Amino acid sequence: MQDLFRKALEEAENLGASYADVRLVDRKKQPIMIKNGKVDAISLSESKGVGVRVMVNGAWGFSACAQITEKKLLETVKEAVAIARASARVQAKPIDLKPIEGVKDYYKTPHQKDPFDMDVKEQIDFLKDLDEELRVNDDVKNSMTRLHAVKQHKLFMSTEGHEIEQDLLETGVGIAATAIGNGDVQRRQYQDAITGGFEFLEESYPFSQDRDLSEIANDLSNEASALLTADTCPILEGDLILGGEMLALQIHESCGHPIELDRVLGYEASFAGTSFLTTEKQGNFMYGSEDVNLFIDATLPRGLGSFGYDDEGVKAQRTQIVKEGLFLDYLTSRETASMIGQESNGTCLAEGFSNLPMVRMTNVNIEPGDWSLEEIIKDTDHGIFMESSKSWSLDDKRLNFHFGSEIAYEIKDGEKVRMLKNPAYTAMTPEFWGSCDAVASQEEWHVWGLPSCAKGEPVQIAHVGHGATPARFKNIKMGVGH
Amino acid sequence: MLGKERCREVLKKALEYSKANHTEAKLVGENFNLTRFANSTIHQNMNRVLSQLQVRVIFGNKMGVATTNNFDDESIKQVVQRATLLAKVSEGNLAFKAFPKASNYNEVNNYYETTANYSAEQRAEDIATIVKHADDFGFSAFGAHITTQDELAIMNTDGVDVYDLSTYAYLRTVVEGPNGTGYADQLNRDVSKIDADEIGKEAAKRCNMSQNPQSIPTGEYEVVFLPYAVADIVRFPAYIGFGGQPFEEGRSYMAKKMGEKIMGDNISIWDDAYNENTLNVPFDAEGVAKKKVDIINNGVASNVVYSYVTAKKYDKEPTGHSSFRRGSNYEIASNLVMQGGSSSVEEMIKSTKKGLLVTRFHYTHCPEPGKVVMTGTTRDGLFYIEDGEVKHSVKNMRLTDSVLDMLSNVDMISKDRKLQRDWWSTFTSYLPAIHVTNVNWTGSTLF
Repeated sequence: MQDLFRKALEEAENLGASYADVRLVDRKKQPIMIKNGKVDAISLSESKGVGVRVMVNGAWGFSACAQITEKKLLETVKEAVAIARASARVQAKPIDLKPIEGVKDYYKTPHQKDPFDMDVKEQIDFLKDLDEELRVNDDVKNSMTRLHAVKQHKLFMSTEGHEIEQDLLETGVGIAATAIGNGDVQRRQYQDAITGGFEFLEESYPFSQDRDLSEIANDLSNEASALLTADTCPILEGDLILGGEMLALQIHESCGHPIELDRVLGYEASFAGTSFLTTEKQGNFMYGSEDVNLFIDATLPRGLGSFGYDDEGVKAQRTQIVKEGLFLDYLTSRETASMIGQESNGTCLAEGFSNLPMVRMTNVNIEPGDWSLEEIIKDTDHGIFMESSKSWSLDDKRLNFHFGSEIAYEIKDGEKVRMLKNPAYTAMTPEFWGSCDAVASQEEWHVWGLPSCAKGEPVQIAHVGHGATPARFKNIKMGVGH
Repeated sequence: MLGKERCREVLKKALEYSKANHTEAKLVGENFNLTRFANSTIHQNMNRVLSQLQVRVIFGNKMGVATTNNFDDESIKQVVQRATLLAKVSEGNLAFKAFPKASNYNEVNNYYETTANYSAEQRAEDIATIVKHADDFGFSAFGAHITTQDELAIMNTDGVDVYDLSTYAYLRTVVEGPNGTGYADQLNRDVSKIDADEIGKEAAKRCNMSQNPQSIPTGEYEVVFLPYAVADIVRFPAYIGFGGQPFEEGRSYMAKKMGEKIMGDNISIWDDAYNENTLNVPFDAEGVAKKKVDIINNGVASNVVYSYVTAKKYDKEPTGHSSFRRGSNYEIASNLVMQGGSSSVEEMIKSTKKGLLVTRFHYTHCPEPGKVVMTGTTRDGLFYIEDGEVKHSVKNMRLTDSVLDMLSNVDMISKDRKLQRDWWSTFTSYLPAIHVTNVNWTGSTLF
């Protein structure tokens, strides 16, 4: 394969490319879905192919093929070069891609139990046991349990001398209980995934009161039922406490996306939107309170956004994004980083072989504080504790947002006093993070795996992680009507 | 893209290699071409040619599924073997014992050589036309231009043997000035019907009108929604309620309200895949012929759409709405048509005493599916109307309201309709502009 790729890179240079890379992705997915105790879907999906990216006259061209023969690959190179020449026709100025040193390396996701090597029946039985727990409450009329298993072999080579191979493995689960009754429908779900093996699904989780998935499923069942008769979250302004799982989504939407530098530079303006974190704010804008410290890190063990190298051959790394509230840095690619005089921090990724790499989240995280959730609740006179995302909506600069949660509890005088259904909250992003006054500690911190981050045209789905822990925000507008 | 003959060759082999009681083989292919532009510069430009073979096998009442994108004999054999292995570890709980039989398929005209042969240079020329309109105002242009061919071939051992080759083109732009943006798009199976000049002109003009927006208080306003915005209003009742599966499981608002009036008398919405104003197709992802389905009839919840899988499970007739995107267990009403009226956008504005003109939405979502409450912010052109005239542009606002309530309070519907995608391209529908007498606005942005 390496020899074939070298020929393709030589051909790109012969056709006038100043830079080219060739990327093989051989990907397997094996989703299993159980519904109401029965196997609803079981499949194995395989895709393999090569993406070719070239720069000609300072403009990009990309083409991809699934047939990996010399003839087809050289045709694909030719097509990519022709596309790059067309790109150069509408261009304000050529892209300045600063050269980097070629790297030869191999990376493999650490894991113990590869789901693709396991007996499928064992996986089905595991999921069916969880599904049974989801239905322990009679009000639950629909249960769903889904296994997430993805395996990728990647080879990246470039005209700069890169030759990087990676074997990546992801494992995760999604479970949901839908209760119907009392004229209402309420759902509770739980989702998590890691880079690693099936062993993760068999553990108990210190960040979740040492519960295992079976206990979590049991709790979801009873919570979905209880929500049917719970009071609706009132419209009020006050203290909002978010659980770790909900804060992960908050970080994803109001920090992760706004710090994508391609978005800041307008690359997503006509579709996914831009960002309020424009470049003049770098280093001199208070994104949040002094309790807010955010970082990206593609080296976090088990983080769903962890890998060895990104799809431009840049090594996985950690970057501080917000320090004591001050906004410092972005997620960057080689192209976008050069526009602000920086080097890429290794976050340029593509879904599969057939898409262009672009700036994506890796693991975007909040640093733990020194509270516990119990202490935060005890310290709250009147507020609402919300957990698990239900809906999310933001304006096209990621300033004004409205998020809904699945479940909430009213807090009065330091205690949970009643369950609430249909909770929601709305705020402006910098004011929201600026009102953060308590962040829970490492003990409740976890990198939540989110295997469904959508961006770009055609839409690419990235699998990302968010290290999060419970946190409190002051004077927030709550209730769907706000 | 393999072409009809090669597709049939691959599918036949898959059926031949299978020892199952019933086998279905499906090939989904595309020749996808996309040029994106930002800051009046092309920044992403791509082509990909993909095909994927999916094999479903049934042994008794057990089913297994496997896919591959390699089509040599060995790979086809392997994908059949994998589907067979998965069927064996599956459980005997299928509601159907065979795949769909052949139907009477209507002829559709959904392939245009003009689109299939459109080059990267031609897309760049269209983009240059838009950039010129933005330049005329000193603005910048952003957007995307897609020209694509899609092929779908399905063959099963129960008689289905169908092939469809289609094209579409989609050009959209956001034009950005120092204090506001404007939008326009067009979508058509035939790229020669896409007018880059018109798109550039419309977006640049709207951007010019959007400069220097003012804040107005939140609260209730009457609203004129352009078809761009109506697409996001219609997508929530469709996404949550128009499918057979959530209906049969009792999860959707339609399950509670079938036969009841849930919208105004003047609202009728149906799914018609043969309507040439939609992205017309002859059959669904399981090879079932498309049926026209009246979903909302003069405001009354009337029907939902079914895939073969759901229909068999609940003893209903499949309507040909198995999803291409989400797998055959899901159904989607992907060719929605909303009844037009007799009005125009100009007449709606003239009749508005104190209200808003909404171009489109961004990142809409549904925090209360039971009441079909949608929330989302406006973008690319929000204007204040007073005494029948557009007075000024407005800083973007957040709408949070029940779609069922909004569509119960529509008093004017435009005669003209437009083939329209919602902001996320979940649905592609043929929609009018509407005037709603009262809409709840709950928040404002800073721009």
